[in-house]
Amino acid sequence: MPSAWILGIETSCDETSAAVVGDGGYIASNIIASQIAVHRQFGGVVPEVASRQHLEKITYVVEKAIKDAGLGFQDLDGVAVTVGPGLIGALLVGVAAAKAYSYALNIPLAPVHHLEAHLYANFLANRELTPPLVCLVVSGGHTSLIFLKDHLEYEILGATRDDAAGEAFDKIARVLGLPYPGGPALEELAQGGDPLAIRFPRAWLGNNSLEFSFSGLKTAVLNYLRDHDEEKSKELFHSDVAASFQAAVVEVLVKKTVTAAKLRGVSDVCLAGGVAANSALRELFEREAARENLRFHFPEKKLCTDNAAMVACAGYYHFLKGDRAPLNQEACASYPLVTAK
Amino acid sequence: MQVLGIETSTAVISVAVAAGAQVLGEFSLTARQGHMEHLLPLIDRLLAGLGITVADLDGFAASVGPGSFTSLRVGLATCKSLAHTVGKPVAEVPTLDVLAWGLQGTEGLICPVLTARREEVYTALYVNSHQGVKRLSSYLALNPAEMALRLRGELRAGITFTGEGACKNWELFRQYLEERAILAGPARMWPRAGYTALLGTEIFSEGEGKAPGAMQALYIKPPPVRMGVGDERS
Repeated sequence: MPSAWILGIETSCDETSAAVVGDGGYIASNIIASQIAVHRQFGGVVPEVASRQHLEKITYVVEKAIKDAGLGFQDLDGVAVTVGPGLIGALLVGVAAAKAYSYALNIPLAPVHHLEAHLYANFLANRELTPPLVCLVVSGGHTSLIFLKDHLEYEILGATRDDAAGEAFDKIARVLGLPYPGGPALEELAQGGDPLAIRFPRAWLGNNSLEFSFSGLKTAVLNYLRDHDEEKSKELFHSDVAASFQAAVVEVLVKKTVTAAKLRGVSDVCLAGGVAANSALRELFEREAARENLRFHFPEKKLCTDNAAMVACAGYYHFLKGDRAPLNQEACASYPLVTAK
Repeated sequence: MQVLGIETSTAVISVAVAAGAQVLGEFSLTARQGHMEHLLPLIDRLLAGLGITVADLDGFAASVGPGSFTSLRVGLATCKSLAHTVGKPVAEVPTLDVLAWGLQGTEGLICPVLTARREEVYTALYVNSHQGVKRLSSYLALNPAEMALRLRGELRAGITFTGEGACKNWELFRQYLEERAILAGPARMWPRAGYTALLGTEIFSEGEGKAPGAMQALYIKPPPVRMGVGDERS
């Protein structure tokens, strides 16, 4: 039996989630109430709607997480919560709830960064994994290459200058007339297409640059669609565009991560975030990592999208370090992973 | 029965504990932002001052709105979670009721007014009776000029306005209703958690307490949404 049970809470965007994790690695429960169906009718996440949904669901989600873990409140040793970055109205619900649980139970609260939680999903997936490592976090809001020197010690090696990778997926999916959320729908469409059909540009941004840019690619796809209007009715056309676009994104993501791993001399590379669920990305990662003699790690799909188990896992390492959130802990819409020294 | 009251519908953050018909303690503070920062420390100081803990409370009441959506949710999420932890019921207290009860004993009509979005106000009409303050209308969101015009047609007696929205629209109300319009004294103008706790106690004694998960905000207005303008996240 694990010796420390952490209740994790995550409400940074459109999933209300609570989980109970033992010793930072044993997932006793991981409950996710998705709002996708609610937001689909608006074509994207509406912040006020998300906030209302979080408030309605939070207690039930926590209740179920504890019950499914076969535990009671009295068994918990700590609470961990995503304090940012994210939608402020959404974050507030989770942070207020987590503070109240921790206060009423007289157990400590750990403040967790959303990107850090995604990265730590890899430690949930693989208990043998240890820093140092390089992790690519790709989601609708982030595209960041992070060097984890030691637990909770981060260096941001590179990030996107414009759109996040997931954002580019969503935008192209919308143009192709796919339903929300666009990422998974685009991946499905791409499966029937030829990734080599169209040569879309890759933004390398110079030799060994670890920065990303996807706005040029996005424009190239839009222009291509505009210039090939007459082909729109062809069945394969959209699949080829989706597959070729996806290939352009994935190639840049993988190559830059491999470059980062070499520059930092690590032998472990990890993938995290919602876009990490993309199969094309995983496959290329696996191939390139093997070629470069790197060990490649990725969490299962459920642990890639927003979930509270990863928050509880990161929270566990915060507790080991002695981090405690104060009673006046706030939620932060923008929250740096690495504070300026 | 000891009940915690939480009030975060406006710029005022207020917490109180009531036992029966008595308010044992109340802390209030105005902070346009920072409900999250101040709420739990205020609750902690209040309980410490009374020498009790969360486990000693028998019920948890919160003002559920209408009011500022964001600050309301800080209060409600806190209230639900505290109650959930100790397995006690919650009471939903409309904020306009809290304001009206602050004027208990006032002759004529009582009209709390809170600022809403899009040049509207939240309001309801109340009258003092031998059983306390009684609500006469539903909870409304409307334009303050339209509200004053409606009142002018029907009003016989005086009407006392309270709440920050009353101050903001006082000249308008005065202009339409002349000397029939009265403004509440400044010390009775803001929602106090003491009333939230007292009204919550009544709700519990009538068997109207709820399970913590069922607690909902009284938004009155639907979320402002336009198609296709949601944030894009995958």
